[in-house]
Amino acid sequence: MRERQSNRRRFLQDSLYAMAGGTWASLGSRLHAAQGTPNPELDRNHPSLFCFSRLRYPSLMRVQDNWDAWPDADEMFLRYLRRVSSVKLSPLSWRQRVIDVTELGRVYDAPERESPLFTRPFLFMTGESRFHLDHASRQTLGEYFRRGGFLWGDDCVERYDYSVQTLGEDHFFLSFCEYFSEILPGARMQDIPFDHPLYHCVFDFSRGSPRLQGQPHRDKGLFYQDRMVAMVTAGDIHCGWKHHGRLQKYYQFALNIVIYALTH
Amino acid sequence: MVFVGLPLNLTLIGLALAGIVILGASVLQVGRAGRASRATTYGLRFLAVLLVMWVLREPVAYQDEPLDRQSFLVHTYDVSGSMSITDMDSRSRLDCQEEMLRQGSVRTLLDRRHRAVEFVFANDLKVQADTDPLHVETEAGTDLTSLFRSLAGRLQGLPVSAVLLSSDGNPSIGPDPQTILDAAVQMDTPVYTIGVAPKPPAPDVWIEEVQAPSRMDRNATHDVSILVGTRGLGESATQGVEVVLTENDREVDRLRVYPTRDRQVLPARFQVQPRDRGWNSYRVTLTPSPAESYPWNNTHDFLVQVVDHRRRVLYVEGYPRHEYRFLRAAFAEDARFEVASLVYLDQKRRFYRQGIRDQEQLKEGFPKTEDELFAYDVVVLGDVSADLFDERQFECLRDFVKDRGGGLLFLGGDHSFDPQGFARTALADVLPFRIGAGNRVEGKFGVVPTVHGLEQALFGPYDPADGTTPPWSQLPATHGLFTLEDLKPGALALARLQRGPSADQPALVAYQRYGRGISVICGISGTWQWKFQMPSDNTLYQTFWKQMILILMNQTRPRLTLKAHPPSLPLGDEVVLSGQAFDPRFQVDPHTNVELTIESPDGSQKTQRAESVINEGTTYQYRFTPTQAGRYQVTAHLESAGTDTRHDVQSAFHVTSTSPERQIVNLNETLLRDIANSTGGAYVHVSETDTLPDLIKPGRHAIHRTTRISLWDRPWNLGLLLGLLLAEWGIRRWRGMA
Repeated sequence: MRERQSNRRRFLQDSLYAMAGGTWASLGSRLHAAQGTPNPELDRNHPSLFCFSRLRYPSLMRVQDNWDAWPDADEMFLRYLRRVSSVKLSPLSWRQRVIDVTELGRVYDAPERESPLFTRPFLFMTGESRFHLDHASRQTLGEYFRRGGFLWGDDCVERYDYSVQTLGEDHFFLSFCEYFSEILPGARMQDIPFDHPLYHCVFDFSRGSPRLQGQPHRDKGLFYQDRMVAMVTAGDIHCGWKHHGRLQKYYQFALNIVIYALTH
Repeated sequence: MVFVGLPLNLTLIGLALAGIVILGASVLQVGRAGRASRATTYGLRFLAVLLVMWVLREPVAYQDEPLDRQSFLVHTYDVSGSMSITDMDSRSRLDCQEEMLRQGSVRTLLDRRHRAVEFVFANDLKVQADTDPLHVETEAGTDLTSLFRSLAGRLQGLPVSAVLLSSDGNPSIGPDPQTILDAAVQMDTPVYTIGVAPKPPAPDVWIEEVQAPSRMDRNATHDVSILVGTRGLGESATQGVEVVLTENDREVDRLRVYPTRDRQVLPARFQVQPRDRGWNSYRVTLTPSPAESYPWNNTHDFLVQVVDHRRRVLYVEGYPRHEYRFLRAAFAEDARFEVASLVYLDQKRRFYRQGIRDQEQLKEGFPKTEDELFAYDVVVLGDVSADLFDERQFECLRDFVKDRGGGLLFLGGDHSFDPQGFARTALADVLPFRIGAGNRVEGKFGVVPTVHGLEQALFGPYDPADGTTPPWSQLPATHGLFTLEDLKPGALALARLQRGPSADQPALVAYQRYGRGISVICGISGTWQWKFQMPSDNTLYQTFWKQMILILMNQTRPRLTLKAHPPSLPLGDEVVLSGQAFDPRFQVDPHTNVELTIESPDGSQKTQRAESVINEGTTYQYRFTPTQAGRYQVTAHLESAGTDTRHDVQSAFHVTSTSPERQIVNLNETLLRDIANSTGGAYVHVSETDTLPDLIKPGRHAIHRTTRISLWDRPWNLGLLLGLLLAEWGIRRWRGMA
C-alpha cells in the first residue's frame, strides 16, 4: 500500500516536473527565437546536448532507495546546471533518459544493432543496495568505456534507523568497486588523487567530494589509458541536491563531474 | 601535273563542238544497228576526241629526286654513362655504335648518298670529328630534350635530309617523354632512331622509384613507397625479389615482391618510425638475382630529416559538449600535435584550459596579440559565438591565416553558423563559404568524400580501383549536419551529404587557400557519434580529424627555410642551396643576411655568405659543386637587421658515386619509336642497321633535283587513239552501220 502511494506520488511529481520543464523549454525557445539563435534544446537528437541518463539495474537487497531514488533530485541538479553553465541540456524527460541494464545485454548479443546506450556518453547510477552485473553487461560496459563513455556512481547510503546517528552503509559503493575494477582489462580502480582535474576544473575540492552521509571512503576512479572512465562517491551527493539544495557544494561537485566528463 | 598547252576554256569549247558533231552524225546514221551499238560507237568517238583534247593541252609532270651528297645526314651518338655498359656480345654499347654505325658497310652506303655530320651528346651536344673514336663522358646523364633543341638551333637553314639518333633511349635528365617528343617535332626533320642495347633485354631488377618524405616526425609512422622493376628473371621470379630498407646502416624491415610477368614494376611499401633525430641516411637494397646482368642498380640512398617538432594546435570551444572532449582526445593522442584548448563554461565567459605549457598560457582567454596567436600552427574554432571575440582578435585571426600561413579549422554549429555572428567580422573573408541561415539538416544522414576529399585521404588512403569497401561506408548516419550551400569561388568541397542515390548533394566540409594559409570549414557538428557508435578498435574517427589537421598544417612555415636541390646527385653535378628568410611578421626580409656552413663527408667545414635573390619562393641562394661522395650537412644562419634574434635551420644532401645513368639500363624502344613516328622517321635496332639506307627518306629540307616529264608526247597516247578509232570502225562494220 505504502509502495503504491509512493509510486502514485512519484508519478504526480514526475508529471508536474514534466509540465514545468516543458513550459520552461517553450519559454526558453521563444527567448532564443527572439534573440535570433536556434535553440538546439528543441531538437532532442541534437548531438550538442548533454543527457543526464540514469542506469536502471536490479537490486540484490530489499532497501528503501533503489536505482530510481529521488528522480526529482536529478531535475534540481539540471536546473542548477542550466543556470550556472553553458552546457546545453537534452529535453528528454527523466523516464526517457533512463537506460535499462538489459539494454547492455541486448548490445552484447547484437552489437551491430543501434542502441540508445551509444547515444549517451554519460551515465549516472545510484542506489543503496548491492547489485549484480552479468557477464554480458560487464562486457558491454567495458566497450562503452573504451569508446569514450563515462559513468558516475553515487551511493545513496542505506540507513537502518534514521533516529540513530550513524554514518550509514556502503553496500552500493563496495559493490561498485568490486564489479567495476574487473570490467576493463588494463584498467585500475584507485583513489582519485586530490590534485586530479575532477576536483579543480570548475570549483576546488581539495579534500575530495562533499559528504552528506555514508562511510568516509575516498572517491574511487576507474582509470583506463590515463583517462578516468568511471567513478564512485560514497557520500550521497545526489540526496544532497534533494534535501540540502541550499548548500551549493553538492551541486558544485556534480557540476565538476559533468564538466570533467565533457572535457576529458 | 600541270597543263602547258591549250587553255582550259578552249578545250571545253572544243569538246562541246565535238559533242554537237557526234550527236548530229547520229541523226544521219544509216543502218539498222541497235541502240547499244550506237551508244558504244558514240562513246568511243567521244573518248577519242577527249584524248586529242588532252594531248592538245600538253600535260607535264614534275618529279623531285634527292641529289646524292648534296644534303646532310646528321649522325648523333649517345656517349652518356649508360653507353659504357658492356652487354652487347662482350662489347660496350659505345663500341657497338662505333663498329656498326661508323665503320661498317652501312655507313659507306649512307655516305654515298649523304654528306655526314657527326655529333655526340650526353647532357649537351658536341661536334664529333670523323677521325676521333667515340668515348663516354664519365657518368654524364642523357638529356634528349636538350639534344633536340640544340640540334634545331644548329641545323637551321642547312639542307638536312634526316637525323640519325643512336642511343639506348633512357633519358636520365628531364625524362618527361612528351617534352622530348615536342622538342623532336620542333626540328621539322625526320629522325631515324637506332636502339643500342641488348634485345631482348638482359634479365635485371632495379629500383624504379622511391617516394619518401624529406622530413619525418620522430613520434609518427611514415610511409616509404618503392617501385621495383623486374625483367626477364625467368624461373628465378618464383623466389621473388627481396627488398631491404636500412636506416643509418641498421635494418628497418625487409619484404619480398613476386613478379608474375616477364616485365613488371611492383610496389613495395614500408612503414617507418624513425629512431634518431637529425639527418638519417636510408638505403633501399634489392638482393641481386642470380640471373641479372646489372647488379649496380639495386640500391638507392636518400636522406630524411627527422624532427621532434610538434605542431601546436589551439582549440577553442564555445561551451562544454561531447564533441569537444572526443575531438580533443583525437588530436592529443597523436604525438605530432601539442593541443592547448580552452572551453567557455558559462555566460560570464569563465573558461577552462587544458594542455597548457604553464599558467601564463591562455591566461586571458583567446590570444589578443599576434605574437601570442602566431605561436600556434593551427587554430580550431568550435561552436563558438562571435561575441566571445573582439575586432582586434578577428584581425589577428585573419592575419594568422593570411600572413603566418596558419591553418584555421572552423566547426559548424548553431553559434558558429549564426548569420548575425562571424559573417559580419574580418573572419568572413577567411572562411570558404558565406555564412547564411537555414543550413542545418534535419534528420540523420551519412557523409561521403568528394574527389578532392579522396585526394586528401580524408578517411585515410583509399584507391577506388582496389575494389575494397570504402572506409566511410562504416560510418553511422548522424544528426547535427550543417550544409555549406554557398561556397566561394576557389573553395573545394572535401565531403558532402549522403542523402539518397544522387551525387549532387551539398558540401559538408570545404577548404580554401587564404593568403599563405588554409581555412577549412566542417559542417559536421556531431562527429563524436562516429567514435561512440563504432567499435572501439575502429580508428576512422581519429583518422578523419588527423587528416583535417594535416591539411591545415602543411602551410605554416618558420622564419628561415633551407632546401638543397637536388637532394641526391651524382659526383660532379652542381647543387643549389636556397631558401626563404622572413621578418617577425612573416614578410619577406629584404635585409637578408644568411650564412651557410657546409660540412663535407670528411668532416671539414666551410662558411659562405648566400647571395640575395628575388625569386618566387626564394630569397637567398648559393650554388656549388661537391667534390666528395657522401652526406653533406648544411646549416643556414639568419640574423635580422636591428634585432638580436638568430635563427638556424639545417638541411642535407647526398652525393652518390653511382650515376643515375646506371639506374635504368634497359633499351627504351617505346620512346625511340615514338620519336621516330612523330617526326616522320623510323626505328631500327642496331642489329638491323643494314635496312637503314633504304629506309631513309629525305625530309623537305634536303636538296632535290626537279625533273620535268612530258605526258602528251608519249607513244601510248597515239596507240590509245588508234585503238579507240579502230574499235569504233570495227563495231560499225560488224553492225552494218556503214
